[in-house]
Amino acid sequence: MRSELRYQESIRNIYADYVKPIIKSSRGLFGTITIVVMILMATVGPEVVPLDLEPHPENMWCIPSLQHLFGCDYLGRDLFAMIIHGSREVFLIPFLASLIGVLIGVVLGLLGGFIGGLSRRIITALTDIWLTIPSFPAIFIMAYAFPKSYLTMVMILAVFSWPGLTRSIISEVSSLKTRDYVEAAVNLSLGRSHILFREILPHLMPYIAYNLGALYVGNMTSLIGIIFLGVAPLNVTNWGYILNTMIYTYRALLIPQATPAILIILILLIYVKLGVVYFAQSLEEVFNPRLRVYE
Amino acid sequence: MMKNKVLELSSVSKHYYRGLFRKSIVRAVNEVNLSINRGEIRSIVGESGSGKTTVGKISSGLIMPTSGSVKWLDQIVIKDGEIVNDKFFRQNRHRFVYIHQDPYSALNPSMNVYTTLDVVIKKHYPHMSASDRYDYIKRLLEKVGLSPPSYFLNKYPHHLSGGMKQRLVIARTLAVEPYLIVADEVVSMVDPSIRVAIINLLKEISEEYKTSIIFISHDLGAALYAAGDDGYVYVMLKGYIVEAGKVSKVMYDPKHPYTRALIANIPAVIRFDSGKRVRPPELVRIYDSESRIIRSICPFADLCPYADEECVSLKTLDYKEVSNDHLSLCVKSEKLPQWRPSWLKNI
Amino acid sequence: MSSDVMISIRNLKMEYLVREGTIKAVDNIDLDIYRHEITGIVGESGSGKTSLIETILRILPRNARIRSGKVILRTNRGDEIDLMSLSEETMRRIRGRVIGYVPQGSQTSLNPVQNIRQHFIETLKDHGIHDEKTIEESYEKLKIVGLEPSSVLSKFPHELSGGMKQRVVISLTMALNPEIIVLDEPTSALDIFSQRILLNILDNIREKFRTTMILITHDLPVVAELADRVAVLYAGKIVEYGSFRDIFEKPLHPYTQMLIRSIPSITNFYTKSIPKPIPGEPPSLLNPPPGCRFNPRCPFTREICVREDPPMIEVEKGHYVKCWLYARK
Repeated sequence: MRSELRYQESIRNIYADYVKPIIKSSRGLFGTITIVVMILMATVGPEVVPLDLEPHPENMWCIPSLQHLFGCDYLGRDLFAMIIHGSREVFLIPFLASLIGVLIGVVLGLLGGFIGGLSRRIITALTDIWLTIPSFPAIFIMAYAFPKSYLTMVMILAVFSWPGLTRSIISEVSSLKTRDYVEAAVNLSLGRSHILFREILPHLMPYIAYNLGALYVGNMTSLIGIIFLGVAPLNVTNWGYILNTMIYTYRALLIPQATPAILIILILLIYVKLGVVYFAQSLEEVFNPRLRVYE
Repeated sequence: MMKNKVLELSSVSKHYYRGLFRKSIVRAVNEVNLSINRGEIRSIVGESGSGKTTVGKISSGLIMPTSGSVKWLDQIVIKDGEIVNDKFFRQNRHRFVYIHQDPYSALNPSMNVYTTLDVVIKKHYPHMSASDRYDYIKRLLEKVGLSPPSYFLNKYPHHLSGGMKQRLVIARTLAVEPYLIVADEVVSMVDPSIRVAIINLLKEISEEYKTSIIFISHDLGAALYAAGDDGYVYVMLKGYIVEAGKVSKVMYDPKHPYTRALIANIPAVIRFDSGKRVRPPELVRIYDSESRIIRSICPFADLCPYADEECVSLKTLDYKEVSNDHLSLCVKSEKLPQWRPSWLKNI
Repeated sequence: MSSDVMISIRNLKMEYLVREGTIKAVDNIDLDIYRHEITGIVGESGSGKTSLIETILRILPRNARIRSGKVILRTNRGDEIDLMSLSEETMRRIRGRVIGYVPQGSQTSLNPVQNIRQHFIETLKDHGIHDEKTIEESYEKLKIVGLEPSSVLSKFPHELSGGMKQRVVISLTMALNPEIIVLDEPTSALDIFSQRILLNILDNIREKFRTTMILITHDLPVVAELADRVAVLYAGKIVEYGSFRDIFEKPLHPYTQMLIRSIPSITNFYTKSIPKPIPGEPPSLLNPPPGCRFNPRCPFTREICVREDPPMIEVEKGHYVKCWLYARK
């Protein structure tokens, strides 16, 4: 009896089902490491690395060294510390926004796709209208108009995050409804909630995972973008703000010594985005056992 | 309480209305009468487009007919396109199971063997403990020939061969102790050498649990083997059942020209006659669709070698009762000459 | 039955490289295809039948490796060439004009936006034939497959039934006047009457044009009807080879015997013989069983069967079998 129960656990082998697919692929490994780095940067980082916002003109635009890993900015302040402290905002706001956007998108998508008929047409129409609004200018304007706080930023970004996912979920659910295994589940009276959550939702996970990653990256770009353009300054350590003052106020593009600083921020952004995207891609193998080639 | 007649279809038709104004009609099934008793195996033979799949799905409650009535266990469940006994329908629909042709699409690719069976058992036996379910699953796997069960428990559908997948699907239906299994082309996607094994499994299940089985196939040989000499066979063409009856009667003196043509034109493994292979005589005038069209309500008129003015001027299609367990839709059933396949003489 | 060998395959070995190892899809095959005859290659899923043809025609995917072997083609005009040694360019000229290929499910390979006439013109152009006279003559090939050119040429694929599309593909293949035609599972997905028409057509082609044909299928009755010679494939190897009478009247290899017995055919019904399935599953080509590939499922397995792969023995004239029951050790 005990050996049987132990065997039962091995059937749902957490390692084989969830961890191995991610680690085994090079993209997954890269992505996981990036996510871990990001989490460390945002949580532990600010506690460990002291922030010094005092100007030290003697260190202006200093090049990267052991003391100043990313070099210094226009006031001689340590860029590394500023970036670490800014990462909380830069990572967290888009994450919350994307999460909310995905939740709205999934709920609307499931409703529209599963129920079909009139609801589907209404939801599709709504989504299509929303999609035609140019998101970046709209975010820009709303960020300028509304009171500046973390919450408003999250909400503004979320509001433009849900339409894309809704559309693809509606069409995917409508087609999944006709699959033979769904028909078999109906035949065997497995119940609507079972069909929704165990037959249909698992097949949406690849879309959801990927969308979460893509939205996250997009929202991060939007956030940094609008702050870079000077619309909503939130915090001095926000990367967008750093870039903004560097380039507009201190004309960093014309100063050769400033190049490493700008490059470092851009490269960091690229690395983070790439890692998130790769991680999201590798989640596909978790949710779709067929893709696991190595077994 | 155990009724003998498990399923009865009376005058069941299914028409689809297509087109922008719903003007064009596709008559998938026309006035089909079919019944099956406990423990029986009956086969439906027909080509793709004959309506056999639609009949199968109507029998298991997956498709609503346009007209006609469906009775389960002698209770009318569906009449004229609507469910008339909602409670009874919902209580019993899982006991009238439909098995698809393609086992790969009938299994959820993200569920392993254990989960596939577990979800069904949990739903219908909510008071069963986890370890009892585990035992039940192992027994089901043994029953369908997936042995040793412990090897298969954590495998996913894409790890299994066609035959194994089909066995798993059968195990899933067994879990709910069905009254009726509709097996639709279940061996078409399975290797030829394993087909008989799957059919044997269905026969065992029918024998042991007194489950009724409707075996649908375009392969006459498989259909006959499944039904057996004492079983019944229904021959379908363009939505009509053109011939129905006991296998022994239909196969030894088929009374519908389509059935005769089917038997005559099947390539056979061994047909030798003094060293030369004997080819079947052309029992069917095979035309391309435009060279000759005989307009008649009879579905076989355009290819039938016996078609004449009598067939063109038919107003209604009625079954002729050739004998006790033998019906034919051909207006000339009684007048047709006796016929056996030409190579039967050598056997 | 001719005694003139048109294609001579010796020691053909092909593997697929996959993450888990190598799949030995064509495992040391020797085979002779005789001129003007229909040779049937019988095999179930995983037997390697499609891989064999793809190897001969050199249309393999990227992860395939031809390890060894010769495929000597002796054309009707007398040229003798080893297909394995040709350049891709020469091979391209051979495909279609010398060896025609009708792959599985080819009904769906017709271009939905072109009518049949355009299909003929394109096919001939692709093989360097541009002159009007030849093109006009090629339309006549439709008659061989029982289609009337005047009514079919202007139609589009979706206006034709599945069986008719299949026949159009065959006539397109014939339009290039190849010396050999290879057909992969031509009868699957066809209803009985279309199948019957197709079998008659293939018989017709053999009679009229004396085209050599290779028919690949898992459908034994079709092979019994058409083939002059039959090769039985199992796990990438040929286990039995002989005339159709040898194979169907006196099958020697246990697999052949069991395969024939396992099919629930009409004949079985009338002779009241009960079909018996073959126990077990087809072997994995990644890790094939040691010795004879059939040993796990064979009722006659002996100790040597597990140790060593049996040699191919000619038991009687023209009838070969690869089994320890017939070889001496």
